[in-house]
Amino acid sequence: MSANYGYTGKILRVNLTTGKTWTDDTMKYKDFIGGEGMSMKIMWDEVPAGTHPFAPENKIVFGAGPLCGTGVPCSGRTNITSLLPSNPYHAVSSSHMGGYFSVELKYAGWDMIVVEGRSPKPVWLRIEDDKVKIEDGRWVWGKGMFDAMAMISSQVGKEAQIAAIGPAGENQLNLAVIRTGASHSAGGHGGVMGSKNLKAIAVKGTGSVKIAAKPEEMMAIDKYMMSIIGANNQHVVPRFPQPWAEYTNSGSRWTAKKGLFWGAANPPVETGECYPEDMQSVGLRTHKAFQDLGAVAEKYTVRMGGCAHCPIRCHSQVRIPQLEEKYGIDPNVANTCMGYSSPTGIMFKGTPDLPGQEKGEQSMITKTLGSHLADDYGVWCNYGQIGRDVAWAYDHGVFKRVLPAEEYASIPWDLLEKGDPAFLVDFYDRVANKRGEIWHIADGSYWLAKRWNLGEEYWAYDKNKLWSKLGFPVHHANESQSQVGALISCFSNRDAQNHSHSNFGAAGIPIDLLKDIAAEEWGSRDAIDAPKNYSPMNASKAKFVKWSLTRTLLHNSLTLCNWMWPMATSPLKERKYRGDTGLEAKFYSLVTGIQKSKEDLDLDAERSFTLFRALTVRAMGTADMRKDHDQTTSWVVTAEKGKDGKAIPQFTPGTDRMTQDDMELGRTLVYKEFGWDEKTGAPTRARLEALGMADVADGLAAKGLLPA
Amino acid sequence: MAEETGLAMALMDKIRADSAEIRLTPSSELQVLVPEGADAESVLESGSGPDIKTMRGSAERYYFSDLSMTESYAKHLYRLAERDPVRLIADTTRDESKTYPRPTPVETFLEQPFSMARSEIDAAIAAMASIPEYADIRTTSASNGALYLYSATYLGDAHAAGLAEWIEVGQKENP
Repeated sequence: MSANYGYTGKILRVNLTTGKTWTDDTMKYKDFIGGEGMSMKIMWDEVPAGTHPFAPENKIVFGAGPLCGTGVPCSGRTNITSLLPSNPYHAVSSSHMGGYFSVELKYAGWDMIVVEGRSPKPVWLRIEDDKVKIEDGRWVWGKGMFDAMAMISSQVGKEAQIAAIGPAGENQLNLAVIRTGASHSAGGHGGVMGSKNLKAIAVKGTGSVKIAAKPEEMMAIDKYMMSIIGANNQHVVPRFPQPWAEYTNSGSRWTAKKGLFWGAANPPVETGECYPEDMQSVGLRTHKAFQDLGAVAEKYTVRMGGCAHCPIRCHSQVRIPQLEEKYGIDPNVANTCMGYSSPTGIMFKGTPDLPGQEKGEQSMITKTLGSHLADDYGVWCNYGQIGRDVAWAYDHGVFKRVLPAEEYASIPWDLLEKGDPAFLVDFYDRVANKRGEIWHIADGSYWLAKRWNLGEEYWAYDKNKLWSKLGFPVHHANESQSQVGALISCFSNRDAQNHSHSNFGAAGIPIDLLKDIAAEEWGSRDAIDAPKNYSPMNASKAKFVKWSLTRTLLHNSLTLCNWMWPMATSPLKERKYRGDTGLEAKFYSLVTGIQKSKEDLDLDAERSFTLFRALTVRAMGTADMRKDHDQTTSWVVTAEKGKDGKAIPQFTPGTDRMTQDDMELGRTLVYKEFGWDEKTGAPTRARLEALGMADVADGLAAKGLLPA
Repeated sequence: MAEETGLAMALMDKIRADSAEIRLTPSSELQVLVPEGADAESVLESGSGPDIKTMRGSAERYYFSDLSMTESYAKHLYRLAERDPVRLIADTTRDESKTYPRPTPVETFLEQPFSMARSEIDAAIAAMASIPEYADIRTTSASNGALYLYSATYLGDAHAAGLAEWIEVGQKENP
């Protein structure tokens, strides 16, 4: 393998205890592709089980992949892997952010950064091409992320890309983010950076990423890719009827239409019809402010932002003067999806419009104010769980029970009750700065339930959406592709963050067409079910599960955006709405010069996923993954009640609930697909050796963690 | 024959030009283009391009070219041209319940190309209740109050209710 194409060939190693930096060879990890895969290998080799996430011995890996920085569409992601503080076993997990950080890292000549140790004082890391310096960070410590980034930018230059933490990370909250750019947050590992006294990493690169293919070859495949790409989440039909569209879907993020504008742009920009063949309007397809903030946000929308090398602009950038007038904060806000919606979860009593406000205005203000605060303090929402935990604790008298009376009385609950978003100003300050007892809401659900003795009812309540007693919630689980989504969530150490299956199911085309494509990909039309009309588990669904798990890890390794990839569908009728699931391999082969089929890359990703599984076995100290890791909370396998109050039996139309027996069958079938032990769900020696990981098998055997 | 072909070409040109402007061509607008005694519909029946499609309305035919609009969009325009809001809502709902299958948010009819007033939609839904041929059209509400329509021919009550709740509430809580 040549280090000259795709890969820079260099990993930056940083020990903050000793202050030493050195260069490692990327290619010794080549079997694990890049990004997340390589990071898993580093964690396996170098961070022993039992290490605390906030201990100096823990490492945090910022990883780019071979496609990052090459211009491949949607390749601006940064993968971050480390021990996860919110997980009860501190198992290895990954968080991800978009933006421009990893691309700049590649331009500086680095594939990854591995940080270990703990600095005796706050520092930030300066990377300018091959010049690396650990800088004194005391002057930015304690600052919110917006100020900290601006201050560091003033030292390095505005062209630098910066990944930073806020007070939440500095204070080592379990739920803390690392952010880059104005709005790209990776949730989960902010506290790890804080524990190392590392405020930020700033990187500036003047180089480039070499590509093996001829320019015309890259241009041709890029053009082909641009014909297949849809809107955000690879939704391939528009939300509103268009003359060119055969199908529509009211949930589609292809929101463009005549008369819908970026209303605060100068001059305003009309999104228009955006017919599929027009590559120049791809970036207009998704009006994310309209999607996330409602129709009221149209006139406040300046533009859509996004990541390096991505034609899909999924971060809305809005200017809302009310934020400055009422709360004294910057009226310019950028975010997307859960970044906007999680603050409304905290404001669970609702945010009714005030007299004189437009319809939905107070909700928009809540979302933008909350996203700004969360982004400045660096608080992670655990995919919206923090709001549901606030609601549970408030409604069930937990706050009254666990908070000292003086603290309870000091919290402006009246603002929460009347839907005044000013409640968020108080809330995020208390949480990020660890004031009183309430900040433990950011311990994460497992630790919170333990500390505040929330009881079984907390886990069993379906509206809490807790998927696993490991403390993470639903993230495209049973409601998304039946057992496929349900089982995907069972293999995770945090919210699953898997869009390989959910994007496919939500593409927008009719179920019959999706089933045709499913038959081609996973062997049977029965690999997918229509929403809320599920059938029992089968082998083709297990293939779909394995494909989704490995493809997502592949994307996090290459590094491609799994919020867009894979391209299983397209907006093109002449292609019968087929996409191309071999595109990753085509790009990989062209960029690196290493010829790999999609089966080859899927196998590489399977190796990495099996290593991830081995890491979890090692962290938990048990091979019995079926019993100790892969189970759901009880509501998932309990029949739900319909509008008439009667239970809707599972596998009848109208419900997305599972049964325990069916889920156990599903686990068995997925274990079988991976070649793991069908009883425990742990990787076997035979499978590990077949994947070239005899050392991992030896490591598990030494701890008695290989299945019999 | 050559004259007939030329006539058909002229009619097709008119249809294609209208479709390019996203409008259907009613047969009455074609009839004025043919010589007295000739019948525009017959001219097109005897020879038109594969892109020319037609739908029979209550009073006349409508034509469109699928080079400029899909059949599904032409159906919307056709139903609008027929000026029967009750049938428009019912047939659109039936199509969605059958094709995807899914219930239809009433908000759909506020949007282009329907652009109906809320009062018009409400009146149409109320009228359906007393007309036997629309007995299959039912309503269900999500927990946020949003109203959805579905055809019981293609969707069961529990299924429609579950889907409406997912589309309206669940999907937004799981972005």
